Amino acid sequence: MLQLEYFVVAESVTIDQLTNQVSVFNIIDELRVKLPLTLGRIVAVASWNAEEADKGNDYQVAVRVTGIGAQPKEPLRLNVSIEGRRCRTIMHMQGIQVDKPSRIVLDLSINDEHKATHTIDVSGLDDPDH
Amino acid sequence: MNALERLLQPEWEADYVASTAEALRALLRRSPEVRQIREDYDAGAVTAATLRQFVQQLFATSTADSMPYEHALAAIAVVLEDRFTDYSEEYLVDLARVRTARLAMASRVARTCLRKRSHYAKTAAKSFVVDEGNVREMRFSGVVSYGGEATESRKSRIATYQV
Repeated sequence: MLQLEYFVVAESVTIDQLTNQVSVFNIIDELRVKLPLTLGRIVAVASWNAEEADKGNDYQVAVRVTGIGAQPKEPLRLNVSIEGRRCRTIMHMQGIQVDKPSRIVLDLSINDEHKATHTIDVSGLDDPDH
Repeated sequence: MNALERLLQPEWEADYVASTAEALRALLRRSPEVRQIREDYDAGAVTAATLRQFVQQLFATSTADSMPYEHALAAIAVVLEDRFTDYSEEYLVDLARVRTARLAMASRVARTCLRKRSHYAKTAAKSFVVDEGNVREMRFSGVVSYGGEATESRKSRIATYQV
């Protein structure tokens, strides 16, 4: 089974075409915004280490988003086929709506096995607690 | 004489003789010329167009029976092994596909490079739109990649210093 190296949610990600290095920009862990808000684009980035036995296997990576009003009815799924020692999964999301101060929870799983959670605390600009 | 031109010198070819593709690749990786070409490629001083033209020159010298600069072709494969551009993929795959005696070693080196290259991290990506709780997959919009191959009109000069 693939072992998770890291999982973060950020504004954007790039892969350097020359060196294959990954850069993650503006990791989102809290948002202080005018509500309601539609998140333009966020990206969930995970890196997985593979073992020899994983090579040639297919896995399904899923991110379930909860903690918001109109949360996605189903997890966002991405299938990967393992070729080398390491595999990255990048899932872009647009249109997530946040109506009130909340904690957005993004749960990462592989083949239905939970692996990690990233949370984003969202507060309104006029929220007296923040 | 630049590093690419040095690959065409008979004495250079004589320095890099090996009986297996693995061994030749290992020798070439240590070659100052290969290192220099890789640095030039990263900096944009050598572009995909430069390499393409260079390779065409090499093939122009070949005959039905011989390929005088086979090790130079292998050297380019080694340069491109850990560079992840469209041209590097095209070059390695094309050279690895060749099945002819006059290019046997270069082709085997390219296949070795491709095998090593498969150890690098692969990226799978997908885009989703969430609309009132409904999830829709978008046609993949791509991972934004920077640092692509420099073209003649868009070159970057990058210098790295060690202090």
